Amino acid sequence: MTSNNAMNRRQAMRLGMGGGAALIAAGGAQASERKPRRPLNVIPNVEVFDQDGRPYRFHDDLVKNKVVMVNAFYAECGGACPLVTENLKVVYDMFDGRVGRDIHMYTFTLQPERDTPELLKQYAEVYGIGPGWKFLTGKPADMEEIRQALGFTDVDREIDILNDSHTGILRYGNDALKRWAACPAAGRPEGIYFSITSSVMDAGIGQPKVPAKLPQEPAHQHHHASSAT
Amino acid sequence: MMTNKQKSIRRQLELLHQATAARLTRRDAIKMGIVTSGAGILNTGGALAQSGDVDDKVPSPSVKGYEFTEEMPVPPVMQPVQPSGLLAHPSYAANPHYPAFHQYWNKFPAKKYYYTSVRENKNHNFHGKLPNSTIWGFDGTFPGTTIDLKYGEPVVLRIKNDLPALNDPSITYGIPQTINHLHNFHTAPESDGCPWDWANPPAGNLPGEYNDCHYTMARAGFSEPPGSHKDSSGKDWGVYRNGEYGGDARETLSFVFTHQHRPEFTAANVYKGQAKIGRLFDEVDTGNEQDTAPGAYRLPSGPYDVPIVIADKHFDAETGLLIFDQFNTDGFLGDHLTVNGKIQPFFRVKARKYRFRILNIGPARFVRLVLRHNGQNLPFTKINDNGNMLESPIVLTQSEQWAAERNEYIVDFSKLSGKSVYLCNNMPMESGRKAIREKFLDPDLVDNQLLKFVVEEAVPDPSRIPLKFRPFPEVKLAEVVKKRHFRFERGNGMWQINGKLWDSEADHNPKLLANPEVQIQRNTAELWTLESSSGGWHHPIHIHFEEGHVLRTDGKVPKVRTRQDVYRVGRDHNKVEIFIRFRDFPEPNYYRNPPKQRRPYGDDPTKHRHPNEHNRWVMHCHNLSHEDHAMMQTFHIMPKSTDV
Repeated sequence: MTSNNAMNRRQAMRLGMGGGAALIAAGGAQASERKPRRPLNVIPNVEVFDQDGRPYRFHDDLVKNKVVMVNAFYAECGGACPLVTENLKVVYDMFDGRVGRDIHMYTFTLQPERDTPELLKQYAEVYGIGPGWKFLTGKPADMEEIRQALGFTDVDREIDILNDSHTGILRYGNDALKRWAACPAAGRPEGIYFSITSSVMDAGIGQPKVPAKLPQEPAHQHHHASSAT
Repeated sequence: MMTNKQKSIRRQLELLHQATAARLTRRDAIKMGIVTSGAGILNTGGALAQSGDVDDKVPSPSVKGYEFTEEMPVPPVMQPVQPSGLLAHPSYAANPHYPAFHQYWNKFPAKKYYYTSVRENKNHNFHGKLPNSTIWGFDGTFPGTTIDLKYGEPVVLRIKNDLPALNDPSITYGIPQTINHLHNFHTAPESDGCPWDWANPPAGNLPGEYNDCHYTMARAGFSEPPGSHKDSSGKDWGVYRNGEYGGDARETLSFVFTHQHRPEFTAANVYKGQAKIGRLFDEVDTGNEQDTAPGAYRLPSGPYDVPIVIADKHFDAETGLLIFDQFNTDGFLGDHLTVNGKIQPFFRVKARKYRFRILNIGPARFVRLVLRHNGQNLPFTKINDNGNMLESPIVLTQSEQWAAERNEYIVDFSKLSGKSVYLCNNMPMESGRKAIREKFLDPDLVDNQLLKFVVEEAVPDPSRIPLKFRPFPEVKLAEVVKKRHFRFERGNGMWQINGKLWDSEADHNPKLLANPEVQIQRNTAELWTLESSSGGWHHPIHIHFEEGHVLRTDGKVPKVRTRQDVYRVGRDHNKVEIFIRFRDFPEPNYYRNPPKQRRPYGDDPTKHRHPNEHNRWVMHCHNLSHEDHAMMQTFHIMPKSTDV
């Protein structure tokens, strides 16, 4: 992919800002409309870009036959996101070099019209994010599809349109085994590590346990995550 | 029997109630711009509201036109392993049972042994016109075989995991690890089925793992001094058997169920079929309607005591196969409420009284049950709430059951020979967030009919409905040693209790185990306030191990006193105050010297070492998707240093 292409994509994303606004308006109308049920357990194959501007098909390139953990954020978020990013960085370190090989980490933006790959790159650098952990953006409609399909949603439309309503979820799964679950993204890193390795990799799929590289000082015991309201 | 005047008053009240509800919903609907036409509010004959305004919210079933062509199965009763229990079972030599692992084994050694294995069944048929679906059930069945237990007869139930391998690619949802909770018996953690210590399925040459559950079949309070369970009139409700004190008879339960509890996958695994009913009998609820012993309840028994599991399921519109949404954190709703594993079955009944033990297994749907006959509600008698017999029976025309709630009802078909009666749900629900309790679905719409009773000829009916059952244990506020406040909140899309996030690793973490967050003193009472600030959600909050009493809901004393283990919290129930005792467990000597090994496999020597792994239980939301997304709290009961 050339940088020219990436530029075009970004332009497209900026054009998509109007789309984001339209989405909210449509949300109001939906209260009295029967929305067709989205197909269950289908991971969208929309185009996304990582913090280096590299394009991927979300399902085929990033999820298919992989073990993944996915959370949602936006760079402007001053509440839960920085806390969650720091927390997941501890989890990343616990996997001791396995991220990008045995498990893949994705953080997708809830504000694609603003969060360009450049901005994602800056964000990732601030937090010292290493390889195997991708920050993803794309066209607003595509990111919205990912958000909906992976269940970063609230049934109350007034809460659903607030980005902060979705930043506390950590979705994890093993695509080859069609096994998906979720846990709190701000939970204890040891808890997140245990949830994932006991269900979608290692002991959870009948493979030998790989001991976690434990942080010297437990970084977080119990977080007091801020409320959406 | 009701007099005609009573009947007439009840009928008028019912109509008034329904008409009021209809007007409200209609006004709301007009305000919201949903309804514009002037369609009639009430049917002629004064039946339920047309509910045209909520018809839109009836889930569109994936299967239509298959109503009442198949008979409702009744799960058979599980037989004990004979003649000498598990010792004779072929699996025993390789998999011995360790009595020393069970608390209070010496006081309540097992008299009977049961064995079940959790297996995949690719051929469960929800309806003859649908293809067979895959379930994971006890002995490959859904609902699993009913287990009949009797107070005074302790048992061991071995639950073995024979599910497909952990990495079997044919699995479409759920995880083949099992840990099963007996909801809600008074059980030690190693047998209770809390969200840890799950058993793995077979792997290569290794057989499936198992859990041995010891049920003492004693009432709560058995470790308190005899004589402590007297009511205000001085009557002693203590049970004495073979020189052992067996607890407070007022703590008796009659209806329990076993279900899957693997954290983060509970909704999927329960949905996939791991649920079975347990009936508990005792000295007066003997399961014999012809019992002439003084005090015997003589409730309908044998073929007239019928367990019913209502389960919400979703079928793929194209393939007709059972499907589950793994990405739903609110609570997955199905499009068919199945009854004992069938879509809209019929059930032949005799024209006499029946005892129905009805469990709503969810995972997320709440129901309001009505019995419909000729466009009218048929009254029925509720005798039991959440597994606890009421102090006296009450006559109802509808009964709400939230997810995991279980009630017992007596239905009298004696005057209906040759007629049909329908069990229907009239409560709308649009999402796992809440039930729309103020609105009513048309119960006579075929989509809302769950089960058709075909009433056959009259037969002799020796059964009775007693005027009174046992009183509830008294609430003695003077016993309260501690008040606790639990706030259930939603933050950034996840559930929190008092601002904290639960995880199952914390319950294995030696550092955290050494200083548990919620420490309760053994054999004391506490006042718990369960408060929901999550605005507009409904949470059936389940507390393992003990039954409690609701003192106030939003400041109001409940109209009917109940004892329960599932508390309605959330919208219309924002603040629930309960009185609850925590008794007997852990066994003090066992707590001080816990066994090092429980089973021959997979025993990590670092596990089961900390005493605080033997005195912990959980409280959690029983909307299983909320539970899976961390709406859970562990609590520990700490023995006093002087306890023996």
